[in-house]
Amino acid sequence: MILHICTCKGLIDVPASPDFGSDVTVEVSECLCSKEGRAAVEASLGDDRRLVLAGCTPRILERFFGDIDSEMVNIREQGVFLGKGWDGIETMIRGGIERARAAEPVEKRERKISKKSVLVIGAGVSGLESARWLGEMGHDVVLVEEDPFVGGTVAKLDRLYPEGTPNSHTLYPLVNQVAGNDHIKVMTNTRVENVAGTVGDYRVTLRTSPRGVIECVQCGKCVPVCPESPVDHGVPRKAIFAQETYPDEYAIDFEACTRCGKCVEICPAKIDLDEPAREEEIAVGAIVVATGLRNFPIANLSAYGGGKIDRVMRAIDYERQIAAGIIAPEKVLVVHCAGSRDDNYLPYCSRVCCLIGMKEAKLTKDRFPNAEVYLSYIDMRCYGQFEYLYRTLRDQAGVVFLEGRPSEIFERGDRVVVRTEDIQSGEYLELEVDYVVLATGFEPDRETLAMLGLPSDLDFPYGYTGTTLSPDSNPQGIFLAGAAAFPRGVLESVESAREAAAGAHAVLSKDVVTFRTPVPRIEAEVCASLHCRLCVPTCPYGALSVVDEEMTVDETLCMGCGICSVTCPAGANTLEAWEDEAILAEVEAVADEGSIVAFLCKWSAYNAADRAGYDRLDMPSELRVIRVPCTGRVDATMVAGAFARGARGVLIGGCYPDSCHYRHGNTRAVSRVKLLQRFLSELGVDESRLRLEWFGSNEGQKLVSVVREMSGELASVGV
Amino acid sequence: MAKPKVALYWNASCGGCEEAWVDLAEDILKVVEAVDIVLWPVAMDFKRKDIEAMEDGEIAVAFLNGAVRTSEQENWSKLLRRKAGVVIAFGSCAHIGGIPGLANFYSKDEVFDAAYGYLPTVDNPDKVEPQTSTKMPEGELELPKIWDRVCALDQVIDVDVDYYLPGCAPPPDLIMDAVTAILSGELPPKGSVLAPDKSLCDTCDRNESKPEKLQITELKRPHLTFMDPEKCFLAEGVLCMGPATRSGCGERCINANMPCRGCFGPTRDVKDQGAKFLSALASIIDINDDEAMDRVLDSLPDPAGLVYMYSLPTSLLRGRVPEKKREKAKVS
Repeated sequence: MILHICTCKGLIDVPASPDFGSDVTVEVSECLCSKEGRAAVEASLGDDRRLVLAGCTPRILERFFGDIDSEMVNIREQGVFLGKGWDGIETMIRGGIERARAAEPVEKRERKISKKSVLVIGAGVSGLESARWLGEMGHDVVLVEEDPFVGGTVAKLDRLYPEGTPNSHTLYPLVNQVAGNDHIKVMTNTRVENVAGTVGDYRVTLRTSPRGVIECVQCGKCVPVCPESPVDHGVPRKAIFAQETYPDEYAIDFEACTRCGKCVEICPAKIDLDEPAREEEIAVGAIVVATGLRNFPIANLSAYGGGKIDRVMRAIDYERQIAAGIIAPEKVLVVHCAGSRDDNYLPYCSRVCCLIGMKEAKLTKDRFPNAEVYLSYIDMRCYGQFEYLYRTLRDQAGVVFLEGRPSEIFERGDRVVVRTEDIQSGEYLELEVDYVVLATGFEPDRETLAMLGLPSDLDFPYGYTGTTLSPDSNPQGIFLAGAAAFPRGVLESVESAREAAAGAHAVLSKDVVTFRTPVPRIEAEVCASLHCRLCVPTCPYGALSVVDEEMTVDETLCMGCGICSVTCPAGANTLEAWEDEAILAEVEAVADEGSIVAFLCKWSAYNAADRAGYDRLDMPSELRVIRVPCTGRVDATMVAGAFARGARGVLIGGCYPDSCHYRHGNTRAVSRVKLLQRFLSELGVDESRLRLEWFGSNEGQKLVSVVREMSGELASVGV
Repeated sequence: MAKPKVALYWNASCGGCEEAWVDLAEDILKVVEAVDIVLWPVAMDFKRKDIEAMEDGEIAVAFLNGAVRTSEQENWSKLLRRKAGVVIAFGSCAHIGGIPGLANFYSKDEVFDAAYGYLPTVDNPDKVEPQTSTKMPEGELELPKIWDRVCALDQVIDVDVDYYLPGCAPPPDLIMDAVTAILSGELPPKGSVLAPDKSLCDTCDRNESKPEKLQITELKRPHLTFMDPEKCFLAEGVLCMGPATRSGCGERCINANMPCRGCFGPTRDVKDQGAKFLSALASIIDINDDEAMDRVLDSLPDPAGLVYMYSLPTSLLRGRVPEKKREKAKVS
């Protein structure tokens, strides 16, 4: 084994010839991060050789040596800066050496980007925008749309905000740029049936259902003869129909079609009511998911008359009926937060419904200036430019805002009665209106997310998108665009669609992507795989699954937190380079009688220890820091190991609640510590000797206080 | 050719491991036919001096069951180690400490206080405790010394164990497999546990009832719960050590509708069976609320006793940490 000790430009006093045993070759360097230092480290690399680098904090060392298989020992920030002499530093280095002996190297995993085309699922405004950008960058794009026409929700709407312009302003040029780009193949009536493979080489099964119209001259003769009039988002049309987007051909809605054959008879081109469905498999290197919003079903809101009273309707239906001139309201109530932020329905805020509700109010006032428009809300959330819309409605358009949720909605003749309190005036009101519009929230497209194996919270793929942690992500092949990730308005959908296109472009431009995250290794001889599966649900990223009866880690999803390794009671799953044995070996090398062993999360508490070093705080010398990826990685074995070496106390330090880098590693640590405290007290270790604390990266002083408290407190319980 | 000599000995054990030999049923005849039993205190009359008189290594195999706590057990273990070519730790107690190992939750003094003092069935007003030597008119009587800690067989200094045959008690098929392997000389690497490497879940019939996402919201104790004989215990909230325990037992407890208590010990790479199970348990308890978590944990009055029911002496802490400095627990 080769140990490089850095003096950090003379900050660290290293004795003339430090001795770490006959099998450890020691090289002392002035500055490992310098060109010469880096060259020396490179030169000492050999097959199967694990290096120990003792110098400054891994925060800096990883910048230069992140790709080199090594254990890093932080003898600057947490050594000399915290007042340690050579004895203390020597112990730290021994810990690193023992850890290096027990640890397996991080395997460098590569995936070839063998397929250079990209699949975009969903041709709503987001899918169109992603496809447009990818096409312009020269990538071959397959854009699939379940409906017979592209355009998605936006194509059905009257107008889009924040501009308030008709949808044509946005959609028509966009559709033309997509349909006119030879790199983009648009497949309508097409669903994704299955996705296999991984980044660089996804195998996608597509199923195209019959359109019925084989050749079309757009004469429109088929429409008047069609006897069926299904309602499409509030507005009736015929079972054979067209939409002003793309393709410029009619299509048959086979759910409504009765196959009477009248259209076939009159058609001068070709209609085939028995056109078969087609399946095909394509291979792509990356996927953009743009499957958009799912309206929360108003039938679930029967307390508001949803699904019971015809004049209580969804925002989109109301908007389309006004736009189509089907209704002419004189008095309307728009109910905001209908079923939102309510544990009985949708526990979250869908964010865009406030804007949609206001849009319907504005639309009503624009078309029918004399109509009375009421709007009930619990909180108005009008961020950014939408504040102007709110003010316009309130101050100029005369829309009446009522604070409070309606208590009762029922029919009286052909009118709808709403009983509600206006908290602002303290009055109870009974309004008799023509229509009630429910501004409901939105649900995710669970089916597609599940098919792609994307992890979700509240069913939305939070951990996969909408995170500030992007540089610490693995190279992914799947990108979420628009409202598929979370309810988004058109503006944000379009922006995120460009972001998704940029992500796909970054992957497709490479020949190979490399995964450097340590992943758990599964010992197949020990793992009961299919029959145990305890680890599977603990992964925050859905990276574990049973493939061909063996537990398998998808390194394209794994982020290396090690929470699953802690969960494996058979020891068959262990995070490479952070194995139980390796961490325990370090614990056993550094812990001694009276020490305080601190397992510090590398994202927060470990940095707090560095901070304490920069501030030269007076840290008790008993502290022995063990760097871990997450508090969720700390196993009872490691804690027991520390106490078995005579540790006075064990501290587990991580990120504050709800701010775990790996989403919920720290909450798992909470329950583990509670259980461990009870367990340890039975074994004669007072529960105050095991402590879990949260730290911000700058809370060096807090760390010092906690460690001091632990030594002080513990002295009083007679240990 | 002379038949290989075999010794069967018991240390701190309940006698169940002796029964295990009898459970071989007619197979025991094959064993008796193939080997020459030179020691079996429970069934045959041999003396210690008979063994002492043997050459070192003369016995082909010694099967030792039971944990080690007394000087007598220590001496017998060392003697048999010298005389036998192969030493097999037979059963949970010799393998990982077993039920007698639970005494490591208490000091020797506390054990004596209970056993010879305050227990309701004890009538000992003068608080007489066993002495290693007692002078009587007829002469001096000696009793073995009782050590502070219970040990598994391989924790006794100078007793190097070749193989481990796990279980409380080891099941007949594994015993026969071991005997056959020894007789044929086809033995696995030294130090192996003669049982499968996978955890018990691998062979458990209740797998199919295990939900995709196993998460526990309450803990139920077997004697206070109706347990569905078809369903995964953990999924029902009944703690089952199966996932943390080596398989090979034949699911005797599971088939009797009782959860696993870990007698086969940990799987291959695990240092501390109880700590590993505890870590896993904390991951699958699906409660975020502090008070609710406390309530759930209150329903588990003795977590350490449960997870270390069989393995306390071989855990990292090896037993309750003494008030003052910890001692090195090896019997010397």
